Amino acid sequence: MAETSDRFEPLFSSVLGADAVAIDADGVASLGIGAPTVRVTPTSVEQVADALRVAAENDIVVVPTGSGSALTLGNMPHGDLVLLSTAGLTATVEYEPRDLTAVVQAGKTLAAVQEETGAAGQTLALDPQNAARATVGGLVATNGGGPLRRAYGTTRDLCLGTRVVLSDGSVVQCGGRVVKNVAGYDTTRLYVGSMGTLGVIVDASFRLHPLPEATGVVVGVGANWAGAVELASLVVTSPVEPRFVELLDLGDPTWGADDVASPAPAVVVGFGGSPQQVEYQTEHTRDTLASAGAKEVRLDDDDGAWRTRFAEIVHDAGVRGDTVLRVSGVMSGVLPAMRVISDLVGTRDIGLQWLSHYTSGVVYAMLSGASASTVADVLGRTRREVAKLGSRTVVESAPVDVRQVVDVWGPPTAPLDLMRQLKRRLDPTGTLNRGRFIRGLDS
Amino acid sequence: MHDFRIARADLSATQLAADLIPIVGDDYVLTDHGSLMTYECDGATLYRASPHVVVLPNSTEEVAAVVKYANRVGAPFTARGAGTGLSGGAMALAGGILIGLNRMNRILELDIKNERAVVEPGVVNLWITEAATPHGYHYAPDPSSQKACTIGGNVAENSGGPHTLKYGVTVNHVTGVEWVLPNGDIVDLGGAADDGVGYDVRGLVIGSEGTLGIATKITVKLTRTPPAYKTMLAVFGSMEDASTTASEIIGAGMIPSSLEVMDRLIIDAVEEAFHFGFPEDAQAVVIIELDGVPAGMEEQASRIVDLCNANNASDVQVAASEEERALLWKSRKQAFGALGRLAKSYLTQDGVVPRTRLPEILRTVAEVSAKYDIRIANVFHAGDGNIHPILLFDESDAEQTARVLEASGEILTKCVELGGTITGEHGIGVEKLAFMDLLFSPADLRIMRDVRSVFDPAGLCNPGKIFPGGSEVGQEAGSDG
Repeated sequence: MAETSDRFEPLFSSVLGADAVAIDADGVASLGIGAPTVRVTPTSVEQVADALRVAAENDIVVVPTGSGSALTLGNMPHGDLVLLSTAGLTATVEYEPRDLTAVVQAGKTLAAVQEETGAAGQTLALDPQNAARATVGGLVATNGGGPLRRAYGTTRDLCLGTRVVLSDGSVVQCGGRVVKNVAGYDTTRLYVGSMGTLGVIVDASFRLHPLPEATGVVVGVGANWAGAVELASLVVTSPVEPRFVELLDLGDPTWGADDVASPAPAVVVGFGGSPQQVEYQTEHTRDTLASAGAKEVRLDDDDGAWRTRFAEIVHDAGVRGDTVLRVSGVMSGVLPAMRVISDLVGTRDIGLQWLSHYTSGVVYAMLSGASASTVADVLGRTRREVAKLGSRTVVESAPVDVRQVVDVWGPPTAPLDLMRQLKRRLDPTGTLNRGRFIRGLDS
Repeated sequence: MHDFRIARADLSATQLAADLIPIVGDDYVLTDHGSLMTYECDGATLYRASPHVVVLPNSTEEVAAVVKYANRVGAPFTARGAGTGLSGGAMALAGGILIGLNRMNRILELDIKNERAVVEPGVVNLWITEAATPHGYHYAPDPSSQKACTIGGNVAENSGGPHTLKYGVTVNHVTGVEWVLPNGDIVDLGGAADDGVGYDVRGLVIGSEGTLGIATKITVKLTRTPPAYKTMLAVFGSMEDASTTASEIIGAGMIPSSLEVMDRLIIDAVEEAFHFGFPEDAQAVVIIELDGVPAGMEEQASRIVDLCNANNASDVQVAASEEERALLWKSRKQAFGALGRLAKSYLTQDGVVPRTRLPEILRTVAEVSAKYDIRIANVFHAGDGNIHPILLFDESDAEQTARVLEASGEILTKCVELGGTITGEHGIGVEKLAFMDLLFSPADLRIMRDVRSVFDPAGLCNPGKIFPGGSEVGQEAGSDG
């Protein structure tokens, strides 16, 4: 295979210049590629277009990448691959704090966006996994979001527009940079969460929010998971407006509560706003949890440490080589999903760690020490069982050997045929991330 | 005037009716002149075209059967809810079959524990809030027409409303739709879960103005009703001061749930209609609403009052009771209707600019008003930068109508120049066809046409909307005489 990179390298260097083209000598482990692989790093939108044209003309498959952290997400791509890195596109295109909007290039990290907007007392209210390294392009491609989605939604809700380059090299602006816009089809929606299969995202505009003056956290430990879920549901119907309502095992060392033995199924409720708003809501919630019989209630007057850990736990599991299942449904599907997975794991010698964005009906199950065939078995059965409740199961992260034997995505939410036709229209050469997204999309 | 017309389909109304009666029943196929007149336009009354026939199906299966039939005979079809749209989206531009969804008006499920409701497309927006209120919930998007407009129409237009500043628009509150594709197939585009797998087709069809299919069942999110409100009315001597204040409130890191501005003309009209008691010297008022927990609300309100005063507010009143709050919102939401007292006809525009450019666009609106000698009233969602200049005129005066359209065009052109857009919540329909090229490059429009051709290769689903010059080969602008 070494000759592939030798053959591809000059194709791209002759158009983009040698500086924009490199060879990763060891390949790309997270894609299961051991052979040297070409990585192009365009520094302009025009170069992205040039690179895509070269790839399309030579039947080369392009895998767009930002920080690379989501390369463990998705089915194994097919064909002869090159990586297209957005690391050369890191500018802030436009930021007017008084408009509470910003346009940034795809390779800029979310952390850098937070630093820049934070200086003006603002934030891009997205807290996906790996928030420290995730890039804007990755956020858009994966519809990134985390615990804060209760208050602000996910990337889908905060992305106002995006500029993309199609595989034929044409540059398309979707949406714009104002917070309300219904001119034409909302093609931004098509690109958010499209896993880089319809075009390479080169910039995106976002709605920002003011940083809260104060934050606070209330933790309530339940007798068991059912108890923790009951506590969470009481908080949801109480007269407070949490920014997040998470379920986790407080006894897990991840959360730094050394004095609690695992399992300690807990609900972690976060608030933000003025000091008065936060104080009122944390006290109210403390009372709600205590009077509902929580085994233990704790308060924290800053959510920073919690949120940092939320943003790392699933990512760290992926780095460790765990398989992370993500079940998405509604609130009443959370406990049944946990039960299904617990029962399947049962007596097998598999580590199991949880995180749930409760109000969004999302459960992450992190399985450690499971063989590929065990994961395939657990995934298949989980998928079938939770589908009865309207929930879907996706493999959020998994080692290569697992992704080689399972279908990471499962059945799509809308008809496959529509998706396949959209893919054919927008990427007729099948250049972008061929094979990586929904099964059957590229056939 | 931009010629919005396309060729009228060559169809026999009698034949269509005869074929459709077995599908929906005798009573629900309308061909009489009076009925067709009722359906010849929506809220954008300048644009009229009569369908050949109106059908009123009562189920998803009936909608699908009508659409399949339309495909068999090559009849264009257009879905319609309450007909309150303001861009001509719900009128049958090429004639054909108009599918009225008003009989499909059932709230099918209220799933409070999961914060969802499942409704049919003909359900009126406000009904969901009325059903959810006893449980402590409401449906957040609240277009001014919410007492009449339907959820199906809201989905088609991706409707907003005064409270979208905090809560977002329709697409942020719809998790799933049952959808009849333009070929008549019934498909599910998501359900109750917020997250989907694969492309966000649900997000793509919301706001597609009835051109990608018809929603027959909609799953919406319910939002917790805030425990407390504080609604303020700030009075200003100039629009400039009012819009600067709105911009500064947001700039100071506060996101009220709504931030609405009305000018003198609007104030006059609503005062006459509702007798709210707006001050006589007011050139502009700002309605500012905070919602959330009661703690800290007083402090936030006093910061806002300070900002108003620093921008020369002559008075800031706080709604003292729920009744007063309700009357204030009634005044605001029915402002459009109240304008009927000031002129025979009015055209509501719908531009958006970055919030900081509001004073600039308002100057443009004033200049355009003077230049074309057209009275323009202003009511707008200041927090979103979404302006609604309302041009007052007499539709029977062709010369005046032409001036109104030119004046509209000048305002929208300026919105685009300032980095904004030509519609924030009303849609393109036929009304803004001529401005699409201003906003989008051929490549931008190409992918929209690609989407259109994937969903509707036959081009029968609400043809002539959104795309300047038609979206399909062979569909060209022309006149039906």
